[in-house]
Amino acid sequence: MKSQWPDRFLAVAGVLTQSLVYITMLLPPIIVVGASLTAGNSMVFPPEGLSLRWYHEAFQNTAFMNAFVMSLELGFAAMFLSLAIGFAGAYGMDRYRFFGRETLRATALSPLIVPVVVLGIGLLQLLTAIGFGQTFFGLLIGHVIITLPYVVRTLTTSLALLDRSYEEAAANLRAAPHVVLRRVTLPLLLPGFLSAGIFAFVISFGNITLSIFLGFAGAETLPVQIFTYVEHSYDPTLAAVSTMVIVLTVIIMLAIERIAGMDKVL
Amino acid sequence: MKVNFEDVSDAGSAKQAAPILRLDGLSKHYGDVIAVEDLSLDVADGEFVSLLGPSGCGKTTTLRMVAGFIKPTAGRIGIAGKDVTALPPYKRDTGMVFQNYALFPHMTVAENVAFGLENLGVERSERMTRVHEMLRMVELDHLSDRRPAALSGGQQQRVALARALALQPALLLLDEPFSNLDAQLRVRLREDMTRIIERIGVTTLFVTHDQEEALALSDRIVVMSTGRVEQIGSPGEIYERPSSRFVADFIGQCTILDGTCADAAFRSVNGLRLPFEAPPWRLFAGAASRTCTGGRGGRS
Repeated sequence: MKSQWPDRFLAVAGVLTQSLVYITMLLPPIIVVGASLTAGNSMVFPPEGLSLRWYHEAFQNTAFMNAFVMSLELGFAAMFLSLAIGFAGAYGMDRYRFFGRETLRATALSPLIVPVVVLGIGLLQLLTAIGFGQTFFGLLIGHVIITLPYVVRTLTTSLALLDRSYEEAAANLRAAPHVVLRRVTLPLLLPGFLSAGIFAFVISFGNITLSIFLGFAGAETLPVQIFTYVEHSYDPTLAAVSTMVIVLTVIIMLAIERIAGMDKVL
Repeated sequence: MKVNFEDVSDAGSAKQAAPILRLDGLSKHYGDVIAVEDLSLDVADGEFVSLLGPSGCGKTTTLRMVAGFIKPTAGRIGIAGKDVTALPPYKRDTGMVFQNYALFPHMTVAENVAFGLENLGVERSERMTRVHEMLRMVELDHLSDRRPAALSGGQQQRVALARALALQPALLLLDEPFSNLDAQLRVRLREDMTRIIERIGVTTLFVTHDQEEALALSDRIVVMSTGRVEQIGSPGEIYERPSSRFVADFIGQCTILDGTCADAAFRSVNGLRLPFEAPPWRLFAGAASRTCTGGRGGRS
């Protein structure tokens, strides 16, 4: 019996570690959601009484609402552009052997390694030089660049796992290459596209560094707006806005779960 | 199984009608590795020909070259009198049943069968008629709205056959269609499938590593080994008169004795003497002065 104590110890340690991880991951959102429901005037947890007044406040705040819309627009635009470019790249790298293929792969994935600050400074210089400084288009290019590695990676994996015999069967059934792509390859890659799309949107929506560098008056994203707001006040409006972002994320996840099943997508 | 086919062992007699499939000096090399070497074969209209051999013998490579998925290194491929060597798969008049069936998982059974007809631009009403006709033929019309994942392996195989035949191809290609089924089902589905193929009379090229399947189904068998044709002949010829030691060893049960020939008889290395005038055994030339023989035991 004595020899069992290391096993016991490891089992208990395992449970403790697991609990600790869950707590550290879940506690911050719980605190934010809790604080947003306060009836008092300061952001504290536990909340002082319950009320939705800070949500009302957040909705009244045009700066926040504009930033929210801006973030949504930018996120979706970056997502679609990134999916289109990323799929073209992933498909080319999967199906063809060409000179510079590995270089292209490394370049597409490099924004994961290059610090975003460095990327931001470089892009700011470049965009200004070519006349796209302080434009939505410039901001969009920046966001496409930082979302591209996730899209390329996810779609490359999906393509590698795709059984080629489906495409061969389609070709054997007289489908021209563009028909094979549209009616067989793309539908079978749908889970990969959903997954890549979520990554792209979330990365774009949460990015702050690049948005500070490339943003301009009238083009503040939500994270930038939250960041600026904190500098002069610290009221529960922030918590309410953050809670809305959390709810939005959960709704997206649930919708995808209903459509495709989360296990297929991630 | 079938008796009235031309005796192909004497060349020339097979030339009575234009062949549906003609392979002329077909080769495929991957660098120094030879997958298929100088394969020539004519398959007549309505004929069922098997490519038989162990894995790596080049039979699947040959089938995939006929379908157009692999580009041959040398040689020509003709289907129904047309040289298709340079044509992409979708411009070749073949219907293929894949080893894993490759039914489109995001389409229903009926949509799978209709897919090829849509690509040919067949009008909707006629398409529907043909789809249900094909599904009735494989006795799966009642499952036309199901997804492939909701079907058994045997049912999936029949859908794959219906899908391949819906286009009325000149040539049916079967890539080991029975290898994913359990032994009992295999024999039954084999019989079902041959009945359908015989009824339609479609010319068929069948790839298998299972000699029993090849012997049971084929009009002619092409025995292959390491990319080369060992023998082409009817099941009876292949079984009774193997033309090489490899074929004798690969087909059926046999005993191979090494030895030498002298005085109108074969003498094995262990001293067993077999006079030349007494089959059922055959001589194969071996290296140098050595000769080997395959003596067949039972004839089951």
